[in-house]
Amino acid sequence: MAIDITNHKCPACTGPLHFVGESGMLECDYCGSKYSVEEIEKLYAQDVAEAEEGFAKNEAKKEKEKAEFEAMGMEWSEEEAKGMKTYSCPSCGAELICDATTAATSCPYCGNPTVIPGQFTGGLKPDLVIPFKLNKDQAVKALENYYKGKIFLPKAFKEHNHIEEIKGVYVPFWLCDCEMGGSAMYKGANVRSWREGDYDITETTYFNVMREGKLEFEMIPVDASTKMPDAHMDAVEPFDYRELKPFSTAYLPGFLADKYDVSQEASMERIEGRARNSIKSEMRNTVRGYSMVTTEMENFDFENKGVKYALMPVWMLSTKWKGQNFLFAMNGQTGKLIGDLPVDKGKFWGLFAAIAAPLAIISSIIWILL
Amino acid sequence: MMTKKIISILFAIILVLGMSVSAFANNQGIYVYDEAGILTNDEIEELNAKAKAISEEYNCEVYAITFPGLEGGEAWELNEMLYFQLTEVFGASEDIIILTLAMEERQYDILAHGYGNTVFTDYGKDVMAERFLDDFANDDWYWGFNDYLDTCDEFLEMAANGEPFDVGSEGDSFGANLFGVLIATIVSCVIALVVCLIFRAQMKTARLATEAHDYQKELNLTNHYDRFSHRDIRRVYNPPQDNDNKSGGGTTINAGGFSHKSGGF
Repeated sequence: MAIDITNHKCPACTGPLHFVGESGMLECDYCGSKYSVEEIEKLYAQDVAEAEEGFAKNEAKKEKEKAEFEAMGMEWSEEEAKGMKTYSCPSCGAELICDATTAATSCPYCGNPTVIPGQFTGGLKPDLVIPFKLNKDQAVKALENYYKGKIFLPKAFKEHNHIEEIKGVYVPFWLCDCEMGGSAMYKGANVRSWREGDYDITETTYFNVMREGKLEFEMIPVDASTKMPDAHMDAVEPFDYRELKPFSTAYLPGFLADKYDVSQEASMERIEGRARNSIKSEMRNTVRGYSMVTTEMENFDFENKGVKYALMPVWMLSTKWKGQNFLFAMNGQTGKLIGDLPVDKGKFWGLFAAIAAPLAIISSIIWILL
Repeated sequence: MMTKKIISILFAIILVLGMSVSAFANNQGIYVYDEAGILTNDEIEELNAKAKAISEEYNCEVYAITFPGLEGGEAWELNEMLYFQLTEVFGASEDIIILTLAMEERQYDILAHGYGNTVFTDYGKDVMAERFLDDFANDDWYWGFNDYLDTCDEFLEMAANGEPFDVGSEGDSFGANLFGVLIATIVSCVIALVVCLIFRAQMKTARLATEAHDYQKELNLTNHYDRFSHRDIRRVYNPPQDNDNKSGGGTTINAGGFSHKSGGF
């Protein structure tokens, strides 16, 4: 069996290790031993190298097998093969197939957490990672609290919502340092009114206003995974960058992880758009002292000053309700929770009637009495 | 100008005197005079019965008169002549309201006197005119007079209850109440909808970020100016509004003790 994956085992009892956000250490579920990320990195440096070597060997073996299958007329189509990856579980030996972008997962048969290093080698290795700070119990509790006070939430939705299936995912992000510079022209106006005899006089004084400058941005994030909806990933921002760490696979055991499948170039449009809107509003905010301001011209240039590849911690739960998908995401570092919930139309119109009817009756009575 | 006016008045007197022979010869409970011949006998009978009942119930006589034309005079002048004719010649009460139509000129005048001035305020006469003018404009004479008599009945009843119809009284009318209820219902629905939409907005929290304020440093302004461009001055003629009695309610009474509301239909 090719050793093409890294299986972080407890040095004391060989049980699987998980990264625990609260302690910031890798912990063994079986004997309770705890190890720092540095200790495990040192201990498994050789394993990781072997895994990478094994990964290469395995790729060669797969090529050979592919040729044999082709000879037998049993080949996967190119499209099918492109989107898949195979590996063997080091704990139970199951031959497993996963998505080509999957970088960390767990065995569906024995639950053994596994990191697939081939996904994070060479140019694919992330620069930074923010480790999970909140554990699954906290995520479940946060989601339960999120449901509270949502008066339009259908009762049956909560019952059919398998909250325990929430998963911790390291989502790939591009973090872009950039600068926007340029100028804008505005027309400012002040209005003064007074009365002279039988005439109302209105005086409007106009000003030409110019602003020129630049605005620097540090690590604007944009998710680099097509699997993750952009709106959800944008909404769980911001992350606390003070807790960014140099990337290590030791942070991954116990969580899912994906490698990026949206290129830097493809992400740049969204980054530039956000930076452009920010400088527009910042420039506009400097135009003060006028009762009316209209924008006449804006011209800004974008400069990319460097992009970093990072993995960000997000707890996710995807659930289906009446044929529709509802996705919840929680920032695994700050606990910010967002998501779309179904609306019970009966409850919506019920509340509408409960407010409108008594209000209409009371205000009508007051009108008639007065 | 004055000569013309005197001639007009004299003509009106002659006209009234002439009319008195034919129409006012019998004032035994007659309150509707159709000298222009625009109503059928049945309509006159019905309207007269109604006017008589109202006049007797509230001790304020209610008249409706049609005339072929003014012959150069004014509607209010003609109406004052008619008042003298009715009161001095035929012994009508001085507490009175008269609606007169001059058909050739399509002019009308409402005259009130005595207790009529208390009941039929300037604003009340305006509202009354609004109610019958749409019918008269369509040559619907019977319903126009009917509306006039209904309004007289309504205002006389309100006056009898101690609150003559005037500015601010509309809240008591059915139409005003209906309008108020309608407005209250619409406003209540809007408030309820806003509250529901606020709760509904909490159900969808995933939104694309459009700005990057969390990641920006301070704006570095390298150049800026605010330069005067030009100045526009606009002058609008707006004379002070006359504060007549209408705005504050009440009845405007002339030297002869009459109040009027005249116009075209």
